[in-house]
Amino acid sequence: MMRIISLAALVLFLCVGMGLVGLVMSEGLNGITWEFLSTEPTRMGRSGGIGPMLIGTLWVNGLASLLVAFFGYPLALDLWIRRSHRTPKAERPASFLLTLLAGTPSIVYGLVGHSLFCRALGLGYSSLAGALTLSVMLLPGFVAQIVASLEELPQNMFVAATSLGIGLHKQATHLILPCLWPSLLTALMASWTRAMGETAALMLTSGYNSRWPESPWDSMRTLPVHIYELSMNVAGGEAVALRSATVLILSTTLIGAMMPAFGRIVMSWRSRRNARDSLDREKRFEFHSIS
Amino acid sequence: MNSDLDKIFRGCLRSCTFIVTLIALLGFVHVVKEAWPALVSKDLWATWLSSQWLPREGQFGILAMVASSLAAAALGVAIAIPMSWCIAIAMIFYLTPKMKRVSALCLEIIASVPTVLLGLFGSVWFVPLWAGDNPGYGLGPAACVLSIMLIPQLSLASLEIIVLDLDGFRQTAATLAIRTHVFIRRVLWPAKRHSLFQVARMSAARALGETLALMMVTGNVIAWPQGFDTPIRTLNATIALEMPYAQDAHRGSLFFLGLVTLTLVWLCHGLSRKGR
Repeated sequence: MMRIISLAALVLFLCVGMGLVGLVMSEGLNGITWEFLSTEPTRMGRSGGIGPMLIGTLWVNGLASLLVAFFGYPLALDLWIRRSHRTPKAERPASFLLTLLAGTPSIVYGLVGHSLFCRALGLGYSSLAGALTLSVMLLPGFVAQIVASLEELPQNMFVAATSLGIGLHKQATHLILPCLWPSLLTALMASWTRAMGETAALMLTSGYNSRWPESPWDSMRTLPVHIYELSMNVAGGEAVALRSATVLILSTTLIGAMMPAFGRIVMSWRSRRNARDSLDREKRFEFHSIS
Repeated sequence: MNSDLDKIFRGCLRSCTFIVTLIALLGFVHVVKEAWPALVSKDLWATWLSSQWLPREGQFGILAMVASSLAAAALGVAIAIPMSWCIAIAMIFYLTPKMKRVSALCLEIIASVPTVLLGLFGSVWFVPLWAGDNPGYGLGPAACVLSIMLIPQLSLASLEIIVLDLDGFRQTAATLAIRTHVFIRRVLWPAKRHSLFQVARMSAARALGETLALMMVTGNVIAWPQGFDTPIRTLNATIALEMPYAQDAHRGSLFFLGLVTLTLVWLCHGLSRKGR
């Protein structure tokens, strides 16, 4: 009985879930052409393309990813150092705040971004305000992933480096960063995938402008916001919404599929480079011994 | 020289942590500051503890929206929890390794679908299913959409919890010649239920925080939830719909709604962390 119920639940859900993806793709794939991907929408989005939305999405996500990497790596390093130096009192407030941030719903991030970045800082509805909001939203996940990767590194390496008199700044740039490349890239891609689907926070911060964006201070519409607009506020916009949804699903799935592959490529490139370096060292050693 | 550079480096790291902490705190302070006029208004209780949300007339009753949010989340979670546990059990005990890998991949693909697409799917395919005398928007499609959103992650998390130390349990069960369904009910369930409920509470927090998917299938009419096919509006949907044009007291009330959502979500997270 338990076998039948559990297998039925699995089959039912996979049929509904994959049916959802399949239905969206089957109705949306037909109209995806280069023209659709590269032109401006016309007639409120009922016809034309999604070019500005794609650029807007890339712009907002790119800026957010840059900000996350810029603040996230030092923040993760600081937390990890405090944790490894057994100074929980110093580490606790930042960790607690990150936990709170991780549990905050995206609409509240939208409110914070709208109030703090759009109004108080005077950025208005702009991709910069959207990217700042997204970066605060993505930071907890990114930092948690990097701290977990740092904790997996062999601690003997740091003991040896410290005993050789290598400073912390050199360890961070020459020892930790090369080891952490794959994790950093994977964490960034995970953040990118989450940012790709974000709608509520961006509706209140980067706005709805469907023209080509010219600078980070321009209001711009991302792809999820465009899908929402077409399906809710534009009569007869469902067909273009489904086509845009197909583009969104394909891009998120592609990035998701690329994540492990990319990590493996970076790892194999690093191991090849290390092998080549050690071979060079051996050759140099042999040359010196002979001469 | 080395130690000086180290000090500068540590200073940079600490200042980075400080900046991020400051931005996050400023954000929370701003939300409270914007909501303050609504929080200290004279007839607070009379205003908030009603179901009349009429911003032009200065009436900001939130009870109907709170009830709608809670009802949608509760229904979604009530469907998602048993389904996820069944899926996790099927994947561990009744599937071949190859089928398990394929199912996990499908679950990951479904989990990566953005919520706005679930809303689109719900509005195009689920809402007509519920349509009868009414257009079909309401609790029914909302619960379906929420459960599709929650099940993949909840199943994968439940799977990880059940797999932890499973071999030891299995060996003991094998030596006692216990059958699979008895093993699941009498051994696995008592040992794992606390962890499984923790994850379920976290998914309840996620359901309460969802905005777009629900906005697209609930019909967005402020009313008490009376049936599966009558329109409702959640707290988050009100913020997203009204914030672009809200002014003064109306704006403060929307920030207050944000605080209410935040409290509910953090409460769920707090409950899920309590048992650890």
